[in-house]
Amino acid sequence: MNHRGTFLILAAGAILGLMLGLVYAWLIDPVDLYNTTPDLLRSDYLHEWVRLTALGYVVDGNVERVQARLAPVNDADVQAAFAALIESYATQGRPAETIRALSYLAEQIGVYTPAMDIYLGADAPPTPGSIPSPSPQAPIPTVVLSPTPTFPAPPTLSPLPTPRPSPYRVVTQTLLCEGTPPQLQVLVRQAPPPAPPVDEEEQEEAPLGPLPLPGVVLWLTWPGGADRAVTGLRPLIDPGYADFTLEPDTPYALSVDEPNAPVISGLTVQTCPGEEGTQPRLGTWYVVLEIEARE
Amino acid sequence: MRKAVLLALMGLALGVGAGLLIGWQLWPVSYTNTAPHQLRQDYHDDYVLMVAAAYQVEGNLNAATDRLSLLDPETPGRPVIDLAERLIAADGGEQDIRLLAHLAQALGVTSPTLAPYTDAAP
Repeated sequence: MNHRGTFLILAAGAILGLMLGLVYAWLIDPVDLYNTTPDLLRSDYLHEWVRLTALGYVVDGNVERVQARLAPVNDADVQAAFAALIESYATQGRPAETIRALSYLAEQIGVYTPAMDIYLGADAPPTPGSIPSPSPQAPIPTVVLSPTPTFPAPPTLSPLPTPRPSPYRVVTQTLLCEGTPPQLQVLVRQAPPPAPPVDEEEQEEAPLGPLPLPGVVLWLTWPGGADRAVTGLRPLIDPGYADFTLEPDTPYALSVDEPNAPVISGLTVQTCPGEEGTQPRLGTWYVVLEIEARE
Repeated sequence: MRKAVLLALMGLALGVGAGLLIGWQLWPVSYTNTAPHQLRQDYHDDYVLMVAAAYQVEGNLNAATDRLSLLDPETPGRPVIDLAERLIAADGGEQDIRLLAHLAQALGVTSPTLAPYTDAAP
């Protein structure tokens, strides 16, 4: 056997061996990763990891723990999961104290979503770590985070406490005949402060307009029921905006801050005038509320 | 002929060795879509603890069961009991143990070791 023959046999064996080795190493018995880190999780599990981290903070209030759990995770994934969690909690009407704690944590780690604004404005710091045990069988029970929840949701409001005067006043109440279903759209704002005496040089500056007020709790009550909304959850419409869906033939009362301070009573769905032969449409009420500027 | 077979076997052995070196060490299968059961032990424990905390906040036992099933599809409560007992043995945080004990109780897998921690809410 000459040198060339020797080389060919050796090379053929090596190539065959290489193929067998790779098939075994990649397909038959690949590296089994069992000591992985959260950043390698599939994207849905990764978002769940961030979500669970946030909920863990609501219970123990331990920021260092949060940082350790999120350290391996990409910032973009953290921000997306956090924003989605806060938005979904706000939409679901979860307890304000929970969302406030989540918003506080989000702010600490540099996450922002518009729904946070109304919960970060409160003076009191969040109080994670004081959650009573849930009902084991309830799918989504109402979790009370403090002895006096910020936004209690009474199952029924009758009999209501004695009505008291509201500091808010109705500026406009307009029936809109565009779109369905019928709604009550509310815009809450603060009246501009009285103009101070100005010099002639300052007279050309534009006067201050009304200031939209996010974070105002609105109550819509009716015989045997109530609903609550908070302004500011739809900042793209207006920071002071909130809305309710209305049902025909039901008298509603709109209150601000508390359910027993009505600014509008006896509000009912109205029919819009339509063309002859067409189905009459139900209108939407658009209400602007204003509070005097605080000193 | 015998020499040729020997050479072929040597080549084969070299090739297999090179293949395993490449496949296991130099260029192994890249995992990016892993599942919670593959997490390192400390993250695995964190996951169980966070599921217990989420149950405390949301009260959703079905969600907690689904999450734990990713670790142990047959007995989802087992990781909870295991971690709780390890924390008790290691003198771990009482709040963590209580969270785990309450979830274990809700899952119906509590043990006598955890009984003292299920008396009151965490």
